[in-house]
Amino acid sequence: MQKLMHTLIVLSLLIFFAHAVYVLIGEASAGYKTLKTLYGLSDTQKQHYLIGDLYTFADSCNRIIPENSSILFLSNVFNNKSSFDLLLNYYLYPRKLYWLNNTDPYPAAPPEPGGLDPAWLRGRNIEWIILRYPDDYGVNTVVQLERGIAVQSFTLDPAGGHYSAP
Amino acid sequence: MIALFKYGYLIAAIFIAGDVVNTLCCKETFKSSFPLRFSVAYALGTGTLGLLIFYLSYGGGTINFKNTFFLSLPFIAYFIYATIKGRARLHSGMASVKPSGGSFRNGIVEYFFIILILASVSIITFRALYLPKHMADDRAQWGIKAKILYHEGTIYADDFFHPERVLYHASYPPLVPLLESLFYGALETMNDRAGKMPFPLFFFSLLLFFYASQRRFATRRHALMCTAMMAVLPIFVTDVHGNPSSGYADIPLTFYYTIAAFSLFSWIKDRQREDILLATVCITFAIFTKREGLVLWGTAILALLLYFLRMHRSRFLKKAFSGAIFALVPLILLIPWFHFQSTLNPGPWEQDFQLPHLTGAYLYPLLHRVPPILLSILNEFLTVRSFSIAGVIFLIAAAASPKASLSFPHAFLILLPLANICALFAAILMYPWPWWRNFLHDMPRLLVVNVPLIMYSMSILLYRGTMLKPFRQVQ
Repeated sequence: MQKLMHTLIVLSLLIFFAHAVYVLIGEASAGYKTLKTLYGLSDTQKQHYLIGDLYTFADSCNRIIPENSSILFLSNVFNNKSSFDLLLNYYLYPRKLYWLNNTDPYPAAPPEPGGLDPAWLRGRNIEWIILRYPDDYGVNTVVQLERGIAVQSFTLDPAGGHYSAP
Repeated sequence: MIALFKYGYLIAAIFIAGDVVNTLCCKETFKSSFPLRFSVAYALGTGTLGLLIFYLSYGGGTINFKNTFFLSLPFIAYFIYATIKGRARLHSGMASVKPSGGSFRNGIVEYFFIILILASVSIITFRALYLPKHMADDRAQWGIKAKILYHEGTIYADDFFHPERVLYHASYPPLVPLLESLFYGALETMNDRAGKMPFPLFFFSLLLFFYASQRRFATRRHALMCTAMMAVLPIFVTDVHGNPSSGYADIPLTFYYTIAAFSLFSWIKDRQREDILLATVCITFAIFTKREGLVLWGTAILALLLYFLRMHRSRFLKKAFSGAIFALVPLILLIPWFHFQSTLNPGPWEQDFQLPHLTGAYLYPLLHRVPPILLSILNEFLTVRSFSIAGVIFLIAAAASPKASLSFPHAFLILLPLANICALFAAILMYPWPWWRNFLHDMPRLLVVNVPLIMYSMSILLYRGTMLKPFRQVQ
């Protein structure tokens, strides 16, 4: 019995270390490929490459919205795994992102013009809105407010990183 | 240039602060080998500076490099004083990691293990310092809090209190974001990669501590083999959620918990006061790192109680005081955190589960979750995806010496992961939201905290059994 156990252990260890070498070589070559691809790129370019559309979207918003602004985020896209709003919040900081309602953060449809309570917006110093309803409404827009009224809007191209003012 | 100097100072201050705390609390440990001293210094340094910065901010102070500098000064002054007095010497314990003498064949095996460990640490360090954060929670949960703490300079930032602010788990423990914010403060910029510096160090320190712990009972070659086994596990090496380069809190939690659990185990065996002190301090840091830390602390207390129940009354009374230290001191040290946490206002969808949920009516409709949760746990331990075949090797080793593995104190090392896994199972089962399946996806990182304990137990069983004789011969 002892001999059998000994054989089993030695065999398992051999398999373990063979697998370990295989995994390490795989990871090292993946690391080398990443290094080759990203060599010489700036941090921003690396983020574009690694993070894709989300970073491009955030980058466009950052170019439009001044730092330390408060922004209302309106979207019906809820993906618990990709957490778009939470990640966008990371890239927009120190701009502050707000939900309209934290018990129902993803309203099904964008609000009607003038449908937002000006007192609520004032209470949070909100002067910008990010509207993200890409599937049902084809909307990816940044809106600037003044005293609760929209004064300017920018349409974003999430993949290309371009935006246009009307 | 000045920023780089401040960055270097911060890293040195962490180690020096940890080393000094180690000297003051655990005098015996201070005299130990380099791997043990380095790893314990990093644990105590990160935890102590993080906790002190939190106390400072709780009292109205600002979180910035200047205040970190002043907080670290007494430690540095004591370290310089102790060095001049000849009390703090850097031991040459690193020599113990070198391959032993003897035949070339003996040496080559140890070189092989060292190469595996170095390859793993190199891959993780490269990923941490070259790539920006690209997982989910490293930015969505921990990274954003670090940015807020750095930018606002206080734990009382409006972002943590406003219910409609896009932020989740604002009430989670802040040690990891605090550490990241200190690194941002040193560089004066919110740089993703600079903020990730502590994470490969956590992993490297975990490996060193694991190695040093085995050296208490095993030969160098055996300790190196088991350390290499842990270093190359796919959960650590591959770029998955919670891996050591990612900026998640799972590896820091694993590190603090491993020191606490191993120290408790040593205390049960050897009854050294230093061990229970180190366990108490490190479990405090674990609670301050992640909410799971509270559960781990609770399961450790339960396992200790089970051990006490088996004792003779006279011995029990002697040990009860130390046990009470472990159970009470973390609560006292973290009073400011618990108070601050109680003032936060997490969103309604953040309520995980509550005691009133423990009813048949609540649990019955959730029973369909049992098979997928069980399958997910088994899948992680018995397939190569996350833990290779370490689980299988552990089971064979335990089956080979069932008596040794099920008797105290060794049973303590098996009881803890079992209790932790049961707690995780219950938490997922009772989770009130429809996205409970996310936990199945995240199972590897949720289980990782148990890996060092299982590997340590396996190491003891392999060594104490007669299964690996060649590994017992070279000291």
